[in-house]
Amino acid sequence: MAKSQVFVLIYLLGLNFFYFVLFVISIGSILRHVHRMSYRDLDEIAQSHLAPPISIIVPAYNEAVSVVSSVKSLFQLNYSEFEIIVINDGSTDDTLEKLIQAFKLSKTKRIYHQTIDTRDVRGIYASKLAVPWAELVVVDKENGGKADALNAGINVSKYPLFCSVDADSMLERDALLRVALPFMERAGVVGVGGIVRVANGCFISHGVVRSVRLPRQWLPCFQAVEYLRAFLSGRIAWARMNSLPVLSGAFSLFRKAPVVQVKGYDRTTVGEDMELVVRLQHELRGKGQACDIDFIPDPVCWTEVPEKLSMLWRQRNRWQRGLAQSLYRHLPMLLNPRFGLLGVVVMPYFWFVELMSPLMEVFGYFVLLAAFCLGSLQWKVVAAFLLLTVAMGINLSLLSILLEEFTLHRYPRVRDLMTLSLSSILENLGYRQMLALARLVGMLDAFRAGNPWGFLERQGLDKAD
Amino acid sequence: MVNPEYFFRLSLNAAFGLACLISLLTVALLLSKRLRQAWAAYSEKREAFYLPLILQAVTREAGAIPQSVFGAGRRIGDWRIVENSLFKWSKSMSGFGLEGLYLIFQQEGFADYEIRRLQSPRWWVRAQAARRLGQMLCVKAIPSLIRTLRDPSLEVRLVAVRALGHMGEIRAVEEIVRALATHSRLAALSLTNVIQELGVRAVPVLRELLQRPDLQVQVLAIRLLSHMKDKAAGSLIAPFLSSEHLEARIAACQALAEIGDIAAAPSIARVLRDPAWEAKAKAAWALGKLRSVENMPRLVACLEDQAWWVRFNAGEALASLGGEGKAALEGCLAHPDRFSRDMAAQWLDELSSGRVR
Repeated sequence: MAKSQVFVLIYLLGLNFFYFVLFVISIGSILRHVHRMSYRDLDEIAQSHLAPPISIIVPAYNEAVSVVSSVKSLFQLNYSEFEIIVINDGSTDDTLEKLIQAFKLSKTKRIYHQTIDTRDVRGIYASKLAVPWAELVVVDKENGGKADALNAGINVSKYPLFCSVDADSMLERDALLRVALPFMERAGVVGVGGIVRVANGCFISHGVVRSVRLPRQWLPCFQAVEYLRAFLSGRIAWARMNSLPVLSGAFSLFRKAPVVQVKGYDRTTVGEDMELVVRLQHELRGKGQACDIDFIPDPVCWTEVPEKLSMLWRQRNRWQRGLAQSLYRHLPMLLNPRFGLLGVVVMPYFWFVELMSPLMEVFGYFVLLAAFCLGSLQWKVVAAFLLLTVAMGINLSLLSILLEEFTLHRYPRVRDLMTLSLSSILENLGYRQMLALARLVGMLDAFRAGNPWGFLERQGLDKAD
Repeated sequence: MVNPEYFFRLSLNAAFGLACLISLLTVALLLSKRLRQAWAAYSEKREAFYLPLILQAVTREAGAIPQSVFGAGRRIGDWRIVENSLFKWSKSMSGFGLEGLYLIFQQEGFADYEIRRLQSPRWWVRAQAARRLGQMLCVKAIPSLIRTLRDPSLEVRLVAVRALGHMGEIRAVEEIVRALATHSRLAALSLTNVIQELGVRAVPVLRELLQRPDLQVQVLAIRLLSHMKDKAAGSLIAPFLSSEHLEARIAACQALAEIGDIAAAPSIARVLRDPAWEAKAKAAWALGKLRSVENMPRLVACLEDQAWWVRFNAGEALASLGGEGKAALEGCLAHPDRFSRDMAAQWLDELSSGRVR
């Protein structure tokens, strides 16, 4: 028992130390980015014909309620040249009819470059009104999942860069411009992601976030803190080391040619966003080609997070399964020096921390409880240990909030900062434990299936997911 | 084996230390927010105090030197606040008022201060100084800004380029192009705007740059000339259609089409036989843009090309040629090649729905 206690303690201390190192790396990176952005003239870039044109791909499955306003909000983006491709992925509701009606669409005889295999396309629609919807294309296809829909979008897209955006997310007006900047700065950039923030509680009208507020319920507040922690310390640090293995599917921009080269999104995984990035790194770097995956903290995508525990449970379960699939499929990258830091630091981190941490966390609680029940630990030792781990977690969260306030300061009210700080404390009292359990179940689900790392039935693109 | 007492003390001490850190972080968080808000409110108040003084100095008699805006009511921090205000207001003022702001900027010593800051070891300080000097049209800073074009930081160089462009410093064009030619698309983009701001005065220098042996400089000059719609540059750009560098051939196709040099159409049509599909696709696009009806048979032949983008651009080009192009597309509906038929059908559909611009 004593050995397992020491192991759990060392694991937790090591983990928190690692998080702290990531955070320190992030600080420098964010500050540098914020400084650089203050000398960029975004309007000048937005109006220039030299800015690379972008295809925005919006997969939609049963999104009849929100798809029209989402598409209209995308037309407000501040960018010189872009097209919007909505993929109706065999919706069983009236998503397509709503789009046809709102944008006066008609079926066309457009043919496209089938570079990636997808389910059958039933028709391609374009607006009869040249202005203002000339750059809208709607693809109606057989249901094949989000990855398949994105692949169909890539096939139909005409521009060299494509941006995947979830139908229930909203981009800030300058988001596309900011996320495209790394492509204009460096030649080897393959993908860039922006930060995803919690839209619950914000005042939104016509698909645009008018004023930023925190949600009134605790559950989305906890997720707001969690998103800040994950994006502002984790991803920025990995990107700084040029070893980022994941970009959020809700908002990421890719160069089309390399994505086509690796055959697009994988239809057999539930975590198609991470799998694509890892595969790009695996295949391109494996061939000695440049594969620069970047993350920048200021292009904001606002998304609605689950407000019910059951929905959150399903979401985290799915994310964990996707993570397990992506890591297993690219097992040869683990500890492989050929992939640089990605192979020797990031992949082990994702295996032993991101994937295994729920197991360790639940195991840790179990060990402590068992030791306490068997009388081999005193209650005060258990309490002190728990206090220590909670304090470490709170510190990391607070540091992320502080970093947000010093650099990006999106929350204008002191009250919101207070709520965020309080959330970073309260999330330790049940929320994190619940997530650890959901992730553990997700990991076990991935193993339990007949083919643990193979095809998993698609959940569908509903609001819960 | 672990001594529980030792484990307890260790955990408790560490937790206590972290709890202190948490308190500190929370205080820092709230304090920073409050300080930021307080400074914003104070700056606004001081700006309001100086506004009439600055307006008084600006609305002087023509030729008169404006009085100093700093008087008895000066407080710590005012100097920075006034400089920020001048910079901010200069963006929204014009004419005589703007000239007055420039004079105040120089007379109060802000110009000398910013010129000194161009030597700062921190790049963002140098960038800020260059931006302010450019925005405030500080002529005496031109030699320093030209030197800044060789700054190790690209950010600073970009700002210096914009500053010199804003000041209309035509002598710096060559230096500017050299400073940015080998850099990213972002640099080229910034440069395009600067050259546009300089206007036709920059054209002779750009034409001269076409003769330089540096490929990057040549390509950039081609793009800039096309952006300036310099019709006379057509004959200078056309030889690049047969350049050994793909980038130059593509840039030349695009530039000649943008300029509208119809005389170059036969040379562009020759690029349709280029070994690189990217060049062929661009040539097809260019012929459509130039409305080159004479080259219609070549465009029809491109509908059979192996590269999808060549077929697509050729179809679009034919669709933009009016009645004759439409007739050619209709003729392709019976073409033995399936690719030609499909592409022709697509563009005829686009024409009938009025989506071809």
